[in-house]
Amino acid sequence: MNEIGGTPLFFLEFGDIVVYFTPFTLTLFLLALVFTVFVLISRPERQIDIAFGADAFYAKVISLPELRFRRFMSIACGLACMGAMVTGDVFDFTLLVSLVGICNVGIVAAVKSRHVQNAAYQYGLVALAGTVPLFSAAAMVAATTGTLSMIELAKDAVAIPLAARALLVLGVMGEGMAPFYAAKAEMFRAPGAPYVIMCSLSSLLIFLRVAEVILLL
Amino acid sequence: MNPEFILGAFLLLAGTVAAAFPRPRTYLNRLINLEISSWGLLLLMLSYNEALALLTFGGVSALTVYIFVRVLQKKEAAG
Amino acid sequence: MMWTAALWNEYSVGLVIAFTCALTGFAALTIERDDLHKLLLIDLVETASLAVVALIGTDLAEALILPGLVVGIAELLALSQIYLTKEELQHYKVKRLNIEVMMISPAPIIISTILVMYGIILSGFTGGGVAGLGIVFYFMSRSFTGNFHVLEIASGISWALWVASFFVFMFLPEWWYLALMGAAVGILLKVITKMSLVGAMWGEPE
Repeated sequence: MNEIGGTPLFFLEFGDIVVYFTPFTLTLFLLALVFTVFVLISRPERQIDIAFGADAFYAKVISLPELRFRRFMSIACGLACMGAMVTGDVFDFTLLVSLVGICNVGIVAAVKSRHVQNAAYQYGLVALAGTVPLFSAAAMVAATTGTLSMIELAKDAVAIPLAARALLVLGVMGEGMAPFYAAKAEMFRAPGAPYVIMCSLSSLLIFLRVAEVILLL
Repeated sequence: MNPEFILGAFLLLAGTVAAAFPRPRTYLNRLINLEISSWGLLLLMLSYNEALALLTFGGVSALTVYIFVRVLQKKEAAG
Repeated sequence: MMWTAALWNEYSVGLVIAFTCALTGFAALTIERDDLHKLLLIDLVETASLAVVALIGTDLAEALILPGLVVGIAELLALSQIYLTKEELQHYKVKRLNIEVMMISPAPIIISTILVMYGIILSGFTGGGVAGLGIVFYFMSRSFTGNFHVLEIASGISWALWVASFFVFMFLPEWWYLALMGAAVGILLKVITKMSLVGAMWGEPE
């Protein structure tokens, strides 16, 4: 196997869907796991704003139902991220990346501010638009090579078309990359770290993983 | 290249153009034109004998139309 | 090199058509300003992506289309709800059908019961669909002010049963019959509860 991530340490096989742990994927997996555990055990911050014209500040407190919903969405996002980091199947990867996109929308959708809801809506549209190249790339890989398993594709005997690789990268960029559009950055105005930070971490992790996938295949 | 494939591809293309640039540009018009491309996709799936995908897509399409009609009705009720 | 006739088989032609549809949809999306129009156009490009997946042509295509559909509809549900919250349109009530023969007579109950019994006999996915249709019909003709918690609990347990059946299939293949029955019952209940939620959405409690 092309050893871009280091020597494979462990294979977990579900039929022909193989979950593989190389040092690279293991690191990403542990990072996602640790952060999900943080989300599980921590309380949200109270966003503090300065009151103009006086030496005072006020804090925005998050109500309990909103907290529960956003925490659930963050945990779901963390789990999807963990899955996407170690999966050895191209279609599973695209599916989990789409799930990360939906969960990111869910994390901020419970906030009542109109500006944040607007930004979440625009991001949701782009995330949905991003699933189109993702699924098309997985379908092209399946149709041209006959297999979706990354272990098989990593052997140099089969070559996936350049268009499929380009579409995969385009899809992940559409799902996750904050610098590419402002709506995702605007979503961070939603109060309540660490839930919002999960959006940022998941985009970073899926970008790192897609770089490994493209170089591996 | 059986007839279902050709008809399905044609409907997919025609439905996409009709839904992307509808005349007049109302929500209902766009929603109805979405069904043309869905029909094309169903014929495409039929030509490859993907029965399960066909039935599921038919069901999901019904649900999707229902969701959109609900949003449209609420928007209309607002005025 | 690209214009050799041998290269243009059915798959390439289909792929070109599907990508043309996707690009047309995206082009219309860039020109569009209104949010609800954008949502409708997103559904259009989802159809084009499903066309690319369907072109694989083997049984694998079905296995890939189903999760793609699930992801698409989940996102559409979420985005439509965010749209309604954003535009503050949630308070407006959706009009129900006011047909007398459905509201007062016992006919809808009888029809729903027949459909549910038939669905149970069929079992599995088709059975769940038919039984769910019966329940949707019942909710559409009457109002429903019950609680959703029981439905959600049933849905969750049936989902767990289905997953457990698959694990039994994978690790204890000699118990396959138990797993088969468990999976059929699980998916029947799951589809019934999901369909009944759709039916309940018609009659939102005032």
